[in-house]
Amino acid sequence: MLNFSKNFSQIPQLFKLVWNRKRSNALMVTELVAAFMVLFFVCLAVLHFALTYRLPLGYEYENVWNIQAYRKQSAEVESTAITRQSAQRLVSVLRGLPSVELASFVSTTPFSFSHRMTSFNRGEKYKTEISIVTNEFDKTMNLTLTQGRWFNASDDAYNGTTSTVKVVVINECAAATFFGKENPIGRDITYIPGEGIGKDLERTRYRVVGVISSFRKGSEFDQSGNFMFERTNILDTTSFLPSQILVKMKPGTAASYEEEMLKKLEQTAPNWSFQITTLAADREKKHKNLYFALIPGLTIAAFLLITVGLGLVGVVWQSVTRRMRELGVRRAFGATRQDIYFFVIGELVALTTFAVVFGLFLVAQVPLIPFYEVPTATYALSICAAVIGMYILTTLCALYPSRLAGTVQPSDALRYE
Amino acid sequence: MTLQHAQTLTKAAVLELAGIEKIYRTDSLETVALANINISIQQGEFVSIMGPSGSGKSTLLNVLGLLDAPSKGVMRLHGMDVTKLKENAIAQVRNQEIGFIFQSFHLVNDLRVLDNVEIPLLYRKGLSGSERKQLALEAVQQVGLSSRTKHFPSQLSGGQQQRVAIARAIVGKPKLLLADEPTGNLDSAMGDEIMNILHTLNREHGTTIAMVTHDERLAAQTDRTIRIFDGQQVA
Amino acid sequence: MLRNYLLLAWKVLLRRKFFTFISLVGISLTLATMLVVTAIIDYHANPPRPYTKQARMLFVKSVMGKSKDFTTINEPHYGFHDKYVRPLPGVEKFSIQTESTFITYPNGQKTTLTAKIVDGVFWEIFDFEFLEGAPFTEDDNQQRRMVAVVSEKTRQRYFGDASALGKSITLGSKTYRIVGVARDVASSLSVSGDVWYPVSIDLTPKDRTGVLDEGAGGFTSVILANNASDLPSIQAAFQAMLPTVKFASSNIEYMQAAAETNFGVQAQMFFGFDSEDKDYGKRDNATRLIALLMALTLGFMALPAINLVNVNVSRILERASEIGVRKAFGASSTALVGQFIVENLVLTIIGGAIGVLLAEAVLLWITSAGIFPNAVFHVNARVAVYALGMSAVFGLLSGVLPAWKMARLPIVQSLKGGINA
Repeated sequence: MLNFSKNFSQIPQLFKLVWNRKRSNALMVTELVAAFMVLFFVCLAVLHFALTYRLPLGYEYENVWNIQAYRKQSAEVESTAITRQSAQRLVSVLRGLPSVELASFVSTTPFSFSHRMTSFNRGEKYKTEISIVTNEFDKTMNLTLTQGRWFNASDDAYNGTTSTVKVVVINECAAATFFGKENPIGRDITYIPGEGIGKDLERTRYRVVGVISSFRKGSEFDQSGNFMFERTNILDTTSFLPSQILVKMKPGTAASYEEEMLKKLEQTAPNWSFQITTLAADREKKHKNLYFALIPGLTIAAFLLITVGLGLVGVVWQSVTRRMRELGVRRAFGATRQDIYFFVIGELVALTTFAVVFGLFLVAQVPLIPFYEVPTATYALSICAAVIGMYILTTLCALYPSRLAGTVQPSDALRYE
Repeated sequence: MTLQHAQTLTKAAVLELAGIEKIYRTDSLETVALANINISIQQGEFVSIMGPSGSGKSTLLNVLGLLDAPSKGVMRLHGMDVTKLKENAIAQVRNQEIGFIFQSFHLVNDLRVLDNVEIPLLYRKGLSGSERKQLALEAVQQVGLSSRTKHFPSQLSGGQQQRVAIARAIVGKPKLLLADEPTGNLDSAMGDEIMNILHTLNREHGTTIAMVTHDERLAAQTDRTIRIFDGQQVA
Repeated sequence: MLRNYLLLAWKVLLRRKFFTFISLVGISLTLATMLVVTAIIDYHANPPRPYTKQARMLFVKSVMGKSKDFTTINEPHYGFHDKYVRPLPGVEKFSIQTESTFITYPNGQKTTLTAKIVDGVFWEIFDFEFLEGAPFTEDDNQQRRMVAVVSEKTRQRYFGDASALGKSITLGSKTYRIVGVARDVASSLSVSGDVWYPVSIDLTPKDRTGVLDEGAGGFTSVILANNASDLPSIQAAFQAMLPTVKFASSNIEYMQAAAETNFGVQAQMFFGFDSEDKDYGKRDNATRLIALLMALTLGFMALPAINLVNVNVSRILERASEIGVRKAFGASSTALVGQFIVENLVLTIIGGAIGVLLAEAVLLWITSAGIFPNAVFHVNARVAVYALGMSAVFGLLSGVLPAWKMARLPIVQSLKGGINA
């Protein structure tokens, strides 16, 4: 029979005991604080990635192949016009293939390890990733437009490096960053003049023509940050030529078709070099890269927590055997076996509470470190999970020693002279 | 619990022991610690228990205090057979009816005087924190240590520590006080001080006291002396 | 005396099996983790063959070019290495490389080949083991002979177990005659590749004269010095050379770069390339990385060490009365502390030994699982010395405080035990 109202009366005394023994408990609290921090970072990593994984990706990667196409470094010098013609030929050859639905040039593909970032000289929050794409990109990736329109031929007016206006489509995150709740369509994003910017950039205006729901370039494990698509027309020799082509294949195309496609491409542009992968394979590679960092980290954290857990069992066990007489006195004055269980576990829990309070103070400093952007909700959730985790861990550690303490008869305990 | 009821039936005898035996068994050995003990302690009595070392008087005290169950025999507290009670019920009886005083005080070093005194109340139902504090203060006042409530045991003399232990024993207003050589670790002046307190409790508050002692002089001050030798009751 | 200490320590550890167990788990897991990490870092800091002469090598890889409008971090053109790095004083041998990737379909199997495009001197600087044939020479390179060296793995993919000598391999639009087969090198080492062919074949006039452009280049170089002691003076000469570089064809105004040791290159790769880094090329990345690793090691060890301290303090308090009796019978504090330290040392050394075995097992697994392809990891002598050092630090960290506590334990209190001493 567990009588909790009676057990709870011990709580103020548990805290007094722990507080009065603060000198000898200091090391235990230090250990518990360190364990709390480890647990917090484990919770943060796991929760962050688990929660992020469930958000919509914003595009479809199935049946999309990724061709890296660039002029060989060894190739003889040729005019930009010729290069652009080859590029255009490549796209038309690809579109002519029976298994291909669509093809689009793009500077940064989903799941790639490269970034192209700009902050418009406005600071960290306004940092946005940019990908330079051709008209067909939205249909190739099946993007979801929520406001305005996607690029079309009428945007040719803004082509080339000489144009001071560039048309862009941004994701909702970027729309919120730059325009808040206002309608972003037709508005311009500009650089704030300052150190490190050339005159050309200072004049450039990025005109928003459309907004897409989201585009999580990294992978399912990456957050939806600011993203901006800039339009390019590869035939215009003054505009940018991206080095990758994304190809939407008809469903059911065999992987072995790659070889045939590669031959076609090499015939079309002998001075170019090509690499073909699928976005699905790129995604796998990106995920593996994350696991490669995450799994050893979590394993080590688990080791640390196991070590700490075993150590706690030892320390509590020892403290129980050392204090048999105190427990015996409590038994003599009417403490039940359950009261003793509660007392032994409660003491470690009280100690944990001190550690958690101190740990929370430390954790509160973490959002100030801008090493990784994690939503506040995930922080809060991780803190809760770590606090609960600490109480579970310490309760488990005290469980066996508390049973040990409970089995001792009050008279036995008094005999411990 | 039928305690209240039982109390009204047999007002006179607080504690009755009939045919109590205590045998310790190990794999190869059987030690008879107590044999055929028959004691009755009346309400308001101050009884002393005497006997040489190893005679079984500590075992007797353990049995009296419900710290140890007898191997055989019947023990009645206020007429109720407590040998049949379950562990938690016994703990409750100890908590409400019995107070303990030990030779070496057994105070918790890391708790202040008031927190030490409060301990028995922690295991009692329905008391708020302020009620506990009030009762503890009263008990400390009774043993004349009101000025020392915030001290730690290590900051007190031996006599003062034993007074704290007495306060802890009486804080729950028990009917029976069990003292195991309460003056054994103290010099005679301090010992007398403790005995005075016990006598006051016995006379003015009607507290029943059973005290184990080695000291004939102290035993002579009590109403009656029970003598134990080799686990047998000799007087 | 010491023998008695050891015997007693052994007995105490056996008597307190649970505490010994927790201590050992803590020590061995901690050391094993550190050893695994150390062995992997050590492998890359001191790689095996073909890096036999690594102590005399310097590498020139990514450089930073600054113009008014942009900053680029890139591997420069052939011309930069050839015109500016090659003539530096103290350079005994010098080699320029680039790399490329080819997709081929030998026997219908899609294969991505990393081609290392190198000169003949490359084979003199790096000590590759040849299973068949020999490397191509600098003369082959100058004469643009269509020859290639393939790796063991490439031979397997193309020809199975048969010899590859004299056979041909087609990469893109060109076909090469295989003159040698080199043993596989761990692919996490920068020198590794699937096929090697002469750099002159691909060189364009722009590569030969170019220095640094945005988004082009891709060449790296290796310097071999006469003596390891010459490296600092070569590095100084390299820095002195940088302001003299002329950027004919681009609007880059100046560049920042460094000739770094292999470990320095790895460190730079670890810290990453930041185009806003004002000190790029001027920092001692190797020292920085070592400092960071030391800090991480200490940080990582802190928790297990505190844990062991707590367990040790518990062990001592448990024996408080025993210690009191010994003191009462005249044992000096030093003798008791000595006994305790020997005990802790025995524990740490046993834990360390278990840690080494655990680490070796994990490294065997990492090797066989191919997490780092072709790399073979072991707890070698250098790592073992490190392990010994770490064990000692660990033992010291976890032993000093409890020993101090023990020496101060008062006799009377330890004899009495106190209700909650």
